[in-house]
Amino acid sequence: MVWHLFKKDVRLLWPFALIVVAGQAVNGALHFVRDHFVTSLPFGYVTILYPMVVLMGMASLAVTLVHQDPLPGTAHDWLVRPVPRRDLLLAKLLFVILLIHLPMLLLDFSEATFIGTPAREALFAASTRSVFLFCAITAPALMLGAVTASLAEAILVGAVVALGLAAVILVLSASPPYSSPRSPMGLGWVPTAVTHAGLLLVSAAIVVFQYFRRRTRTARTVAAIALLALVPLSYLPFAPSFAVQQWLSPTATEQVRIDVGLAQETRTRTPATGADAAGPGDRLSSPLQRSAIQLQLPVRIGQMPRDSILFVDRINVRLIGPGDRLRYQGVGNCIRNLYSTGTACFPSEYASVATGTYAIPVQTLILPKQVYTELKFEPLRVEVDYFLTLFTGRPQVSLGTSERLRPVAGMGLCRTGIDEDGDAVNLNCVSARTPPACMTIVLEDPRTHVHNPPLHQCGFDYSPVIRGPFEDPLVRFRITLPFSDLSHLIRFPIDAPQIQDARLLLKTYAPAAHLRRQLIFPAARLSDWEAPWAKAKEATAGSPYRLAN
Amino acid sequence: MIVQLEHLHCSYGRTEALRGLSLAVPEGSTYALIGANGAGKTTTLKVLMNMLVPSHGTATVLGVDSRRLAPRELAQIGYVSENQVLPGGLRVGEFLKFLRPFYGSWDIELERSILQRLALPTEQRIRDLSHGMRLKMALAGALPFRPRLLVLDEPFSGLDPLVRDEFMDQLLHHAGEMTILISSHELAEIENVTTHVGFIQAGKVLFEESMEELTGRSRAVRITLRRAAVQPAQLPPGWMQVSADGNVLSFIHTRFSADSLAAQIDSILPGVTHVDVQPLPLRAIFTTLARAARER
Repeated sequence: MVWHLFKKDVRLLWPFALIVVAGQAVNGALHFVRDHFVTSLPFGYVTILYPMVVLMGMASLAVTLVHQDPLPGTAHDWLVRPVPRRDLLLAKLLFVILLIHLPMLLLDFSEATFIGTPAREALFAASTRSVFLFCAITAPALMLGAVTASLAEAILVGAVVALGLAAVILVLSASPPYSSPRSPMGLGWVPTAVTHAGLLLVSAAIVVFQYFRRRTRTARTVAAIALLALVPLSYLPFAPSFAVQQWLSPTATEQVRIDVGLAQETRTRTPATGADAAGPGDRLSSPLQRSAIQLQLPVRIGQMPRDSILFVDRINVRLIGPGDRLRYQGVGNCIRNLYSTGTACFPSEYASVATGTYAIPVQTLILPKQVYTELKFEPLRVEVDYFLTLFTGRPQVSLGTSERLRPVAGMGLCRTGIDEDGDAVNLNCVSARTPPACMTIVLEDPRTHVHNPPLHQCGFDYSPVIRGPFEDPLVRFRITLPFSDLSHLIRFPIDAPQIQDARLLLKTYAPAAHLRRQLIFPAARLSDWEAPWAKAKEATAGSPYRLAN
Repeated sequence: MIVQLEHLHCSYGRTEALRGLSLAVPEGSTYALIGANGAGKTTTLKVLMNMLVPSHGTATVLGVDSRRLAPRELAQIGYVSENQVLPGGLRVGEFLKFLRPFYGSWDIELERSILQRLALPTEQRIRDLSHGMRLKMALAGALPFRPRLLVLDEPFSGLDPLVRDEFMDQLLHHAGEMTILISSHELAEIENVTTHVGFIQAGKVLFEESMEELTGRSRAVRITLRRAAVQPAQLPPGWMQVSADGNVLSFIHTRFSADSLAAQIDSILPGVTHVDVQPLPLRAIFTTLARAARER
């Protein structure tokens, strides 16, 4: 009976399904135009907003599909017919697969291949988007359809639920322990994926319950409670997220020999070449400085593989006083944001560009100011857990400064061109995979090898698939290489006149392994590690116990 | 019994619609469920069709607990309701074609003949049909599989006389082939087909009996006296709506038998010159009992 019931729904809903498919096709066409041609800003907004309309159409179609044989109420004819509930549910799923997701998958695949993405990559991107949208849009829409009887009711219930969840998230984000950092940076995709998996399970459970039990009030109550219970999943603790990431790591943790130890030399900051070593000292904004103190730990990192970057995802610190009394434990590279919800985390990044080993004499640790003031002169055992990600470099790629869309290893498909103002080169890329976590780009004259300052940037996303592909199956990113500094006073050697002969040298880094290391300072005094700038401010203030504001 | 309801309770929020309702529908009967608005007729039918779940009590249909009605049982039950929501986007012909595979016993010839008798336009979308046509459509979808049990919930509500006649013709045509359980206010329409009656008041069955017994014990009595008639101080059992006009005393006897009436007259009404006893239509019996129940 599944096929029979499916045909009935097709007969009733084919115009709606056709509109949604057409909407998806238009979406692909809009993105194709955006990727291939220089378009205006309003057009850019259209390509961002239009997909939301298509997704709403998809959700409405899924809700309307369920409403063809509504589950709440007692007046619908199908309730008194010998329609097997299991067949009815399977028919709805068949419709969703064949008339919503299959056309979308084919259109996404076509869009990606049309632009030049290899078929395998395009299929991967289209399938992952389809799975993502099923978890995030279609399955919840089916659930919404199962507990409502009309589209108007569904919109009302959906809006109430969305507002309620938003309020809960806002409140949780602003209150401990949820305001403390859980899975920051590149690992953020893990809680998101877990939440979506949870949403799929809840939706499936409610839909099945409604089709086989038809207790709308119970289903609504359970759905509301389950959706609320999903909220904490998006605050998944760091450790499980990191464990998932380790499990997915392309290189086994045991094979990485990087060692973290105590450094002989201290308090000498050595700038890295190619990729600057940057600690939070450069980044803490003034309001944050008022609540936190930075310490500089004498840490040495050895056995770094050649051509690699080591990134500190998380530092967990424990301060243990005499008698093994735990005095403080917390995150050593994040701090609660004072003026908004959530937390601010500061990445530390170490590069081994050519030498194979690169000693980092200082490692910054952030402590709450109150803790530091209380404990700074006490003898403490300091235990520091490092959660690290190793990036390995891909071979360098050369690109002209005015190229049409073409495949670039590790980046997807890229095109280059001078921007509208004529004072920078833009690199625009479209990829079926997550953009490179880190990259270094330099603009140079190949004849003289004169080059502009290299641009190094990290996006920190370790997700194996594109996160939240709401727009379409591809991800787009742009990097701008200006011909001058930010003040526009200093012109770089490769300027507009030299640009036609110049080239872009591009190097990308991909996450290769995720590892943990522990460092123990058996007898330490925090005041010995105070950052020099903080000490200087203290000295000016005239009191050894006051911190500068 | 093809339908057996025992001590059913069912509520809508805080409003209790059924309060321990019990009734039994014999197989092959045409059972009329009658009662005032809000008495609980529709709720009763929805419970036995498993559209509503009772909070207490049991409803057995075709020997199966209504909460466990499976496609096998539903394939033997036809249901028509004034509020039935049909798939409006389908055409009449498409809807019947859609229904066919669900019923092993679907008779296409019978379907054709019903469509013809009810004059249903097969190419018209259901949502474009009038209320009366939709009810006929629902009936056309409930008969071709020759159900063992046909449940009709206020099927004549809002129908014009012509459509009502067409509807009744179909029922009469098929009555006897199946058990019919019908709730209706249109008592005059169903009187001719009804074999059993259940009277519901405030979520309970006040009485249920065969039509033969009910009409047999209900009479309009008109007694002419030699002197001016006065309403007796103590009314004999079963006398209702007693009124005196000149020397005539009229009432409705709900426990009528010729012998008992004669005895009652002899004991409390001397000087009787004439007694006229007339049978009552179902409508009059219902209104009498409903009024009495309301007064109680």
